[in-house]
Formats: sequence, C-alpha cells, structure tokens
Amino acid sequence: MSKITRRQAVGAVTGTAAGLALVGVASAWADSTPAEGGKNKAAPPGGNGGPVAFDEVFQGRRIQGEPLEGAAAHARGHAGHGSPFRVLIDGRELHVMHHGKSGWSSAINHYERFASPLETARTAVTTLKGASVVPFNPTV
Amino acid sequence: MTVRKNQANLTAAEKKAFVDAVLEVKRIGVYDEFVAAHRLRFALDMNTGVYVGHFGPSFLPWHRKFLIDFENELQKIDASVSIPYWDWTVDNSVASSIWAPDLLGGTGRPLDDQVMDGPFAYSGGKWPINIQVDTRPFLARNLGYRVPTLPTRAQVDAALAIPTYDSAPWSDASAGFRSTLEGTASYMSMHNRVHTWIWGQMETSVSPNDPVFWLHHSFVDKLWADWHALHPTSAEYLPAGTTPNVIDLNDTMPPWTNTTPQSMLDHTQFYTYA
Ligand SMILES: [Cu+2]
Ligand SMILES: [Cu+2]
Repeated sequence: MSKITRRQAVGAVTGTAAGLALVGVASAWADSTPAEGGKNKAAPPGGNGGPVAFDEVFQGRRIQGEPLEGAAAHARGHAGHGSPFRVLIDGRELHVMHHGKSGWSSAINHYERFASPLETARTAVTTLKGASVVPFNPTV
Repeated sequence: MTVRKNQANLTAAEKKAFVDAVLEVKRIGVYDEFVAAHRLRFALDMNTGVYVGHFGPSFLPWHRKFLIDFENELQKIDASVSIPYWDWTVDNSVASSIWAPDLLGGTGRPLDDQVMDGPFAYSGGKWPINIQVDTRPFLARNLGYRVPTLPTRAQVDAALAIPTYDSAPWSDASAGFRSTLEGTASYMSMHNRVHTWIWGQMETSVSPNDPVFWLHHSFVDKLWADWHALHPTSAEYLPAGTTPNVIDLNDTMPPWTNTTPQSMLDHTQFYTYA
C-alpha cells in the first residue's frame, strides 16, 4: 500500500481542531430535551438516503443519533470507514462505525454488524446492563 | 521450544502455571498494555478504513504477532508456560472444563454479567478491568446469551477447504479463507461468533481483558497453520503487493515497526501446536 495514503488517513483522525469541534457537538446536544414520546426525527432534508437521526428513551437510557455534517463529517468519514454519524447514550459518545454493505458496529459490539445506528445503540444499551459508555479518544 | 497445547489436555499443574503467569503479567501492569494496544488498533482501523488488525487480510498475522508478544511476557514469568488453545468446536458448552474455577471461571451472574468464580473474578481482587470502553470494573460474560451455539467442526472444515487465502476488496465480505474464518463473510459466524457467544468484554474492542481471548486466538492461529498444511501450494498470505490501503505481504503492520505478514508466515520458528 502507499505509505502516504496511510499517513493521510491517520492524520484525519488525529486532527486536533476536528477533535475539539466534536466535543462541542456532544455537550451542546446532550443538553437538549428528548423528543416527546421517543419519536424519531425525520431524515434531514437533502439527505442521501443514509440513516436518520433519532432521540428516544430505550430501556431507561436516552439514546441519540445524528449525522455529522461539515468539517466533523469530513474528519470522520472521508478517510475511510469512520462513521459520519454520532451516537450518544445518556449524553456519552458511543463510537460507531459504518462498514459499507455489511452495516454498522460500535465499540461495545465490535464483532457484530447492525442495519442502522439505532439498532447499534439499542444493542449497546442491552449489552451494558446499566453501565455507561467510556468514550475512547485514540489520539490520547 | 514453545509447544501450545489443547487446554482440555492440560494437567492441573499446567493450568495453575498458566493462570499464575497471567495474573503476574496483570499485576505488573504489562497485561493492560496489550488490552490498550488492541483497543487502539480497533479504533484506528475503524477511523481510517485501513483494516490492519481486523476485517482485512492482516487479521491473522497481526494476531499471530500479538500472541507471540504476549506469550513472551508469560515466559518471562515462567519459561514453561505457553498459550493453550481452545477448540470451541469440541469444548462447546457452558459446562466445558475451560470455564471451571481452576482455569478461566464461568459465566457471569444475571444482574450485571459479572464473573463470580475462578481466578479472574472481581471479588478476588486480582483482575480489575482498567482499560475500558464502558464503566464495568469487573470481568463480564454471558455465555450463550446472544448466540446459542459455537461454530461447528463442519463449518471449520468448510473454511479450511477454501483454497484461496483472501481476495479483493480485502475487507469484510471478501471471498476466501481469511474472511470466512474471521467470520466477516457472514456475520455472527466463526471467530466473530465466538467473541459474541462469550459476551461481556469479549464482545468489545477491549476483548483481551478476558483471558479466554488468548485461548480463542491461539485456536484461530492454529487453524491458519492447519489451512496452510492442507493447501501447500496456495499463497499463505495475500495480497502480494501494491494494494492501496491494505497490508500487503511485505508491508509493516503497526504498531510494530519491523513486523510484516511475511515475517509471520513460519510460525514454527516461534512455537508449534500439539
Ligand atoms: Cu483482535
Ligand atoms: Cu478476535
């Protein structure tokens, strides 16, 4: 493989500015109110048919998911299979990844594939049995 | 010379020596470096789309090197110890002796999946989970909860019969022996299914927190060696070269600076399987 390609790919993850932007998204977002009755938002206008945003309470845990846009999406999604989608469980980020046709997975359920980020989030809640996600930043 | 044995055939003294070495590597802090390396590899692979440790052809040589390094640490504690392998096609139930208190301990309790017996139970004080992706400080398992059965010998034989190591697009859903054995050709199968069958940390990117990780991957590694013996004229690793964003035969596998798939092909310079 080309070493330049690999270095560029890793650079996309380790960009400090992108990392700070993502932290800002998380805290602002978690402070908002859950959608009433756990109803999920419609797909964003102009979406490409990708997974839709959600905000619901599942087995007592608040789960939220939203496509990342702009610079954050670029930092996450451009280099490869990183997800342009952000999932939170009780306000803490669950790292999710998209693997093309085979579907979605997360740091909590790494050896399975799911049809959508929502199914990924719900399975993580079931797996955790009340424990919380510990976000992992690979640049630390 | 290191000989890796079937865990089912270990004597009580061999089991104790293995467990004691693992506990000592944990006590001195080295064990958690392996867990952290696995978590980091997974996160970087997922973010960059360059599949070094999992979901790509270097899955097998990457874990071969990972196990060799761990075995070396065990042998610094006790030179007689090797990583046993767990043939999950035979010892395939919650009642199998691998889960007895003299080796790995058993399944978790219903409340929180916490393992309550054996040397790695949280209550024993020797096995805190420090490298995490969630707040569980204890080893967790729920054997057979998510999927009821382990892969069968027939499924292993079908994988071993595939003559090609791997093929484009060199990722999940590639055709070939590697993706079939890894369990990415169809999900909830083979190597991946074993992780999922155990549940707890084994389902996560910090799967080496469960010592069964080493016995599972020792068997997966043995199957790669078995496959090569069955197909001596097949390329033992593919792709051979110049494949963008894929670890080729002579590419370096991070985090190591001098380890290539080529350098991992002859396992007999490091250990053999009994
Ligand atoms: Cu692994
Ligand atoms: Cu594995």
